[in-house]
Amino acid sequence: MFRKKKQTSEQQVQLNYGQNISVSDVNLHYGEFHALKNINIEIPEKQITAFIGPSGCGKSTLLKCFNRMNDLVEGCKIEGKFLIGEVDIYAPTTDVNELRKNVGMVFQKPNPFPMSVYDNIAYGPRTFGIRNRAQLDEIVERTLKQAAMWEELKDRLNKSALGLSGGQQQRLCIARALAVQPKIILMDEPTSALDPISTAKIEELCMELKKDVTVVIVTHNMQQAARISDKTGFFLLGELVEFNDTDTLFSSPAKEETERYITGRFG
Amino acid sequence: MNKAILDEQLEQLNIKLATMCRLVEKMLQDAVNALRTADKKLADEVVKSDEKVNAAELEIEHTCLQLLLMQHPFAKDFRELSTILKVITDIERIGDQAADIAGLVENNSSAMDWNATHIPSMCTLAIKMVHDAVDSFLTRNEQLADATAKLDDSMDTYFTTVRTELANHLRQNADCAEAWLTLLMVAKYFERVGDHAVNICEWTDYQARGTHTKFE
Repeated sequence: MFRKKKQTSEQQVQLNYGQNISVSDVNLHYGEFHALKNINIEIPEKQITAFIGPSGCGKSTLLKCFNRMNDLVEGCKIEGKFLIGEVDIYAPTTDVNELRKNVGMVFQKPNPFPMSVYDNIAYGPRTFGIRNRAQLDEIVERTLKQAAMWEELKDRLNKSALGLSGGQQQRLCIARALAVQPKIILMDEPTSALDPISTAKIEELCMELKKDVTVVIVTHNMQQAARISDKTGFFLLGELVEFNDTDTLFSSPAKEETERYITGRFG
Repeated sequence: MNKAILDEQLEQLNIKLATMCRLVEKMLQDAVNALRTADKKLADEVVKSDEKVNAAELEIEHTCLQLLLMQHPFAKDFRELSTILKVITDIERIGDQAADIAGLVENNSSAMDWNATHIPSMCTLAIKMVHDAVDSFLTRNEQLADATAKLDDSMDTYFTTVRTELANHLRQNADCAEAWLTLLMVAKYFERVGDHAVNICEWTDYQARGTHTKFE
């Protein structure tokens, strides 16, 4: 009975949550500070979208809005509309847990749980009611393969995730997000604490992931944005100055402010 | 990216590009003079100058590649470097055409009868096109690039005219066949120089607008 109910719920989620993000007339205040100003943006599905801009420009703030990470920030007031597919994610009826199941997030600093590799991956599915060991085994293997980590971790599944290298930990965190089959993955400077080899692996992983999920990444590394993203948004002082195809934005930006930032004339 | 280094290097590249271009313009003029007066010494100087042009191309190319590798330029800096990389190839090819014209002196010791054809006009036009094409890039003047590219129609018309003129001369004075054929080659070289100048104009347009379109 429980199982049947769960399947119905998942079917509903699949029907409602899409993989594109539509942001309309969004303003966000932290107390008196106007952090996002009249943002409108259409993030396409199954592509990598990068947000760039100087520190404090609002790019991470907008990213966190996509899975309501700002809800717990005191004094944070959000106006406007966020649609993921057809779901209004700030509607009173929206289940935040379901939202975060569909919109996973990876942070700057790898944050594996202090438990085994296996349990890190199985954590999300268990939270959503999956207890069957065989089913969990299948999810762990599928997810680690999707994150290109199966070969290096299949013999260490019961070892602590904290014993992995920084790069491995970060990829494990991506795998952990993938375990609940999200539609979208948000990444907030995911490689800024990693060495070039680990960075390259994560970038390769992003390129693979976009076959199945939408990726939105905040990065201070413009070369990284140019290397992996399909679309790039440039933010400045809380405004989305320009949103364009990545090759166009980095070769022939439409706005003078973008030109000045990416050519190193300020910021 | 170190903006100060990049800006300084770009400025130096523009100066080197201008110098390379002026050298090629002089080579074209000298090559024509050498052929017209059967001046082998001047022809040798043109051929030697081509080595300088080749060296300049390598030096500029090396600096461009180094800047792409080390500075990761974006936007107009990226377009400027890309354009310089492309433009030097065309200028180097123009230098080759000048050296080829000078090389014809070896086989034609007698002075050429220039005035019997429109080749002097082609020569003047070719040098003007090269000069203006590079100037359009150096001064970021896409209107000049556009106007210069349009001159290629005149160049093509001249070439057709010269070919007809030379065919007539050949029919009337077959004894000088070798000289007429040499002049036909010279005309073809100038026509090619015009095409290279158009390429430079196209890249100037790319540098300004960010899209590479072929001028008709």
